[in-house]
Formats: sequence, C-alpha cells, structure tokens
Amino acid sequence: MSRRSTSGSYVSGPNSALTEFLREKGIDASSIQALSHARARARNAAAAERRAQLAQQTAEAELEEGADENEEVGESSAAAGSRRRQNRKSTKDEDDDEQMLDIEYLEEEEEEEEVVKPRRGRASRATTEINLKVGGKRKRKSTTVKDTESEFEEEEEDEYVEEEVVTTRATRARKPTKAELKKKKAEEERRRGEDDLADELPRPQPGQIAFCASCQNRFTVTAYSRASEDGEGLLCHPCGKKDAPVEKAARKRKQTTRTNKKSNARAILDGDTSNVKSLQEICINTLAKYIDDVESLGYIGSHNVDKMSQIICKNRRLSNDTIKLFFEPAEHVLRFYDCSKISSDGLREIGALVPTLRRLHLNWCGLMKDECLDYYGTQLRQLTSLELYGAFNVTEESYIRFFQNVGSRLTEFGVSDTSRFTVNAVEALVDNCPELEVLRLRTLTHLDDECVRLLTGLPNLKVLEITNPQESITDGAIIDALNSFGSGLSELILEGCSDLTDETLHAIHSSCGRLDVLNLSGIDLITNNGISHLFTEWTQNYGLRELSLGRCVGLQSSSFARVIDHSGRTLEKLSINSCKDVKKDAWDFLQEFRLPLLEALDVSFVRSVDDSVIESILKVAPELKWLRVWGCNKITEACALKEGMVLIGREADILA
Amino acid sequence: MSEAIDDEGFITLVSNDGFQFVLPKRCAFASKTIRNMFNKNSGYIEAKENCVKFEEMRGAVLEKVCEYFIYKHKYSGYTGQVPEFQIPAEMGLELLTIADFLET
Repeated sequence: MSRRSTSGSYVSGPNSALTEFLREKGIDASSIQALSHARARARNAAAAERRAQLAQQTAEAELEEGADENEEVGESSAAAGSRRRQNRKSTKDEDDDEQMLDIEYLEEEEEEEEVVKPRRGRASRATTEINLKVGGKRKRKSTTVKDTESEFEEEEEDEYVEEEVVTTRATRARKPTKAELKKKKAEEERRRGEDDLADELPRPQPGQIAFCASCQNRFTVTAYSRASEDGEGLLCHPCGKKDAPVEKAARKRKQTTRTNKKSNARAILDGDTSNVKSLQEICINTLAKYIDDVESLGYIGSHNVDKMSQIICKNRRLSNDTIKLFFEPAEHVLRFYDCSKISSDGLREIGALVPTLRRLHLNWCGLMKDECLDYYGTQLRQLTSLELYGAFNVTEESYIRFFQNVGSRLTEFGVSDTSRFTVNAVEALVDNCPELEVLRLRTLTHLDDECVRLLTGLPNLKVLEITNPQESITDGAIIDALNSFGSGLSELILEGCSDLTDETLHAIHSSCGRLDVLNLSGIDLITNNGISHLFTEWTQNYGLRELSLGRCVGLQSSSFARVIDHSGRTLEKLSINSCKDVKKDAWDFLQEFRLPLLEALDVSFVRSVDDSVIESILKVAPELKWLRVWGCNKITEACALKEGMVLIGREADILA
Repeated sequence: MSEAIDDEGFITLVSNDGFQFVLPKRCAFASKTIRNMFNKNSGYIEAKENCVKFEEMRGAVLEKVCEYFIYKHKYSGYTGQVPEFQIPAEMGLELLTIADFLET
C-alpha cells in the first residue's frame, strides 16, 4: 500500500456522504474554480467597460463645455435643494411608514436619474461644487434607508463624497440588500418587544410576596415559581406542582427511549438477536462474571467451553489463572482468542497438561517465546492444526524446528503479524509438511513473490489465505501457485493484495473449478471487465458460497449482474462493501433472480441502496439474516424489515 | 420424524430430593429434551404419566430451571425491555451443566 501512495496520487475507497452528493450532482473542485474565474472575469470586464464609458463621457463634457451650462446647473441645483429639504424631514426618529416612503422615493429618484445622467455628465466637470452637493445629498438618502444614520454621520458622508464620481455612483446605485432589510426588521421587532415588556409588570423577584394566579393565595416567590398558563402571573408551589409529574415523566420517557436505542444498537453490533437468551447463555455470562472464583469447569460440554473462552476473552479476563480451567486432559481442541496476558510459561503448560490436543488456536500470543513453540513441537504428538496469531517474538529458527518436528502430520497452519516469518520458514514448511491443506498467512512483513512461488510445492492445499502482505505480491506468483494447486482449492482469500490485476482473475477462471469461498477485498486494480470475465461462462465452477468484493471499486452494475447470474443460487455470504458504482439498474436486475441461500449481505457505502432496494432484496432473499448497511444514508426507519433479520449500521438506529 | 406433541395441560417435574413442580406443558417445552420426551412416537413413559423425574437435579436447581421456563414463556416475542434473569453465582456451573443436558 505504501508503494501505491508513493507511486501516484491514486486515492480510492468509500467517501463521505457530502462528497458523494457533490459527485452525484456533478460538482467538483475544478468546475467550482472555473465558475469563480468566469465570474471574476465578467466583473473585471464590466468594470473596464464602465471606466471606458466614463472616460468617454468626460471627454464629451470637456468638448461641449459651453452655452447652456448655466441654465443646466441652475436647474439641477434647484432640484437638489428641494430634495435636500425633503430629505431633512426624514431623520432617524421617524417611523417605518416614512422610511418606506423614502425607499420608494429613492427608487423614483433613481429612475429619474437615468434620464438626468447625460446632462449631469456634461455639467460635472464645470461645476464641481454643486455636483458634490448633489452627490452628498444622494449619499445621505441611501444612508437613510439603512436606518443607521446620525447627524454626525451625515456630515462625515458629505466630506467622504469628495471622491471620484465612479465611487459615488456605485454607492448610490446600491439598493438595500435582503440581509440589510432583514436586520432592520429584526431590530424593529426587538424594539417593539422591549416596549411590550415595559408595559407588562416585571417578574417578581425571588423572596417577594405574590398572589397565585390560580388559587389566589399569598405565597413567597422563589426562583422555581412557575408562570401560569396564560402568562398573567405566577403560580404558588402547590399549584405549580400539579403539572410537574407530567413533565417529569415525559422527560424520563425521552431519556429511556434514548438509552434503549443506544443499548439496542449495541446489542445489534454484538449480534444479540433475540431478547430472551437461552439458559446456557445466561449461565455462561454469570460464570464469566465470576470466573476468578471458579475452581474447575467440570463437564459443561465442549461447545460451552469454547463459548466460555470466547466470552472471557472478549472481556479480556483470560489470565494465567483462568486459562487453567480449560485444561482438560483429554481435550482435542483448544481455542483462546486473546492470550495477550498469558506468559510464555503459561502457554507452555498447554503442551504439558493437554498432550492429546489436535487443534490449537491462539490469538494475540505476543508473549510466546521460542522454547514454547519448541515444546509444542516435541510434546503435542497428535497436533495437526496450529494457528498462532500475533506471536511476534518467536524466531524463524523456532518455526523451522517446529516444522521439522511435526513433519507431514501438520495439515493446517496459520500465522500472522510477525516480521520473523520469512522465505526460509516458508521453505521449511513446504519441505516438511507436504500434507498441508490449510495455510493462512496474515499481515506478514516479509511475504513476497518468492514465498508465494514456493507454495507451488504444496499440492494438497485446499485453503489459501494471503491477507494484507506488506510486500508486493504480483500476478505472476499467484498465477504460478494457482496453476499448481488451483484445481483443488476450495477457499481463496487474497484480501488486500493490492497489486493484483485482472490477470489473476483470468487464472482463477481457468483453474479454480472447486472454489467455494473467494475473497478479493481491497484489490482495487481489478476492473469491471475482469470481474465480468471471471463470472461469465465459468462452467467448471458450480457457484460460490461466499464472495467478498469489498472495495473492489471497479465493480459496476454489469459485472454485479454477472456475479448474481453465476453464483446467485449458491451464495450464502456476499459483500460488495464500498462498490460505489453498483447503481439502481443492478438492483432492478436482481428482481428477476432469487438468492435462496443468502444469509449475510454487506452493502455498506453503496449509496444507491435505499428503502425500496432493501425491501426488494428481502423479497428475493428469503433466508437473509444479516444485512450491513453502514453509510447507506438513504435508508430510513420506515424501511419495512422482516422478523428475525438484523440490520446493522442504519443511521436512524444510531443517531438518537 | 413426525411431530405428535400435545402441549395442552400441565406437567410435573420432580427433583432427586422429592420436590415437585407443576407447570404448564408449553412452558416446559422450552427445553428440547423434555419436548422430545413428550413426542408420542418416541414412547417415553413420562409422556403417559405427565411426570418427569430428574435424578441428577436437586430441588433448588430445578426450581431455578422452572423459573426460567416461565420467564422464557412470558418474554419470548416481547419487544420491550426484558428484565435480566438472575442466577446466583454459586449455582452457575451446576445450572450450566443441566442447561446443556436440557438443551435450553
């Protein structure tokens, strides 16, 4: 992934609702920029034109300076005088009506001015003084409209007007904007409100004596005294209390619905579906709560042991003491999901106390050391399956010794999150364990093409998982591997192998006939055509059981249709998380099909999903139980769901 | 296997120390084990007598089990807030073994 970010500015994946909206409307940064540029250009052009016009007018005025000049000036000054008088009348103390008149007057005057313009243009240079006065008066008028004028301001404005004509004109032509009018209105209302308040009696201060508006009794006002319903006066304490329980109950109800909503959302996330738990579950929860006091588990059934382990690990209560409860001498399977608190010696005891173990699964066993794994290799004589996740302290030599000790008995192996599992360990694995059927390699720092090519020596492989390799894994290596054991593969997980392309899909198409589970999440280089090709006429495969195409952003409606066409009958789990280009037509297409086995569907961040789409999916997939819809913000509470189905991530459920 | 189960009437559950608990059949059928006993095709004698004796359960635990049957019958299908079913800590392990046996 780091390679990707250094090589170019390629960004993909889910985006925010806002981004999605803007994209849908065809708005992007470049168009906004272009628009603003265009606007700026237009503004500049207009200004230039105006300047040119002005210059022309001035030139004309200079030329025509002459005979009728005096007459003109006389006329204009007379008009100005009358206007000024009229204007003086409307000072700031006047009320709205006159101001409204004033606005009308201003508009009138502007029209008139359009006619006057050329004449005034001619006169402008010759009689600067008068012109200034006219300008000043006009200026004053526009400020009247703004309702904020004062005598002082007026005077100031008068001086201020001694500027270029352009500025004066610009100011004069400006009508009051909507915002200004609104502000004015708000201020008037406020003033009126103040007046009303002044008319009314003020609220009595706490400590004063008042008479109840309801029962007319004398009482002492406190800060908590309520106003009566008609607002006429205050209520005494007993009268005020009558309403209180109702309000309190309403408040409480609101609060409980909020907490209910929260706890429901949490339960959905935890996968609690029914509200009445089974007695076994209740017992396990109780036991898990008091696990520190339990001396031994006794016989509670092996599935209950595993469930107990899950719950204790989830609560992070598995410790060197509690882990001993699970060491039944004849146990075949042990799974611990969080060993982060178990010391290496504690893990070593598994080998000493449960020698019959066949399958061992340890998550987050970061404290495990070499001698522990060596001990497993020599002590667990029946071990066929080992999954060590997060054992980053174990060295490569120890892995190699383990593979040599276990030899061909090992059929399943999984390792994750370590940088000490490199090509040498893979080589030892391939050389010593030819019977390996399941191999899971997750988040390994030094897993590369060479390691993958070595896997061609494992002809019996049925399950291959390569998740999030930190180094580049390319098509060539995967194709080589698939050519050697692809025909036997039932599960192929290539999640996060972000350098793979359509060529891998072609190889899967031609060699993986028995494939059941396919996970291609996060391989964003594969295209719509590639996916189409994989699922078109894939006759040697009878249909996938699980398919994940999450974040395969190339997926479009057409290839989605191909997927459904090929595997619709058999799919149990399907994820198209973040495949943003799956549009309405895909859902319409789905209507003609049935997904009889589908149990879990993930359509998170597919923005085309809305209430009607969900309802139509429910119609075609009768067995659907889990539906993930994170980020599908068109889904509302009104969406009709069927009983027993869990909808995870609906916005309306989470936002209180 | 055909389902020939009559869930009308009452059933008596007896503990190993002689306590008897009488409760509606359809409540007790929350346990799959008991339900299967009452399948007429399986021919258990308990089905005829409407009485089950649990040799491995003491009275206190069976009482808790019966409480759970009633609790489950009352709240299954209820959409509101369901109160938690309380189990004394010391009984947890014993009850879990029995719940595993009863498949409930």
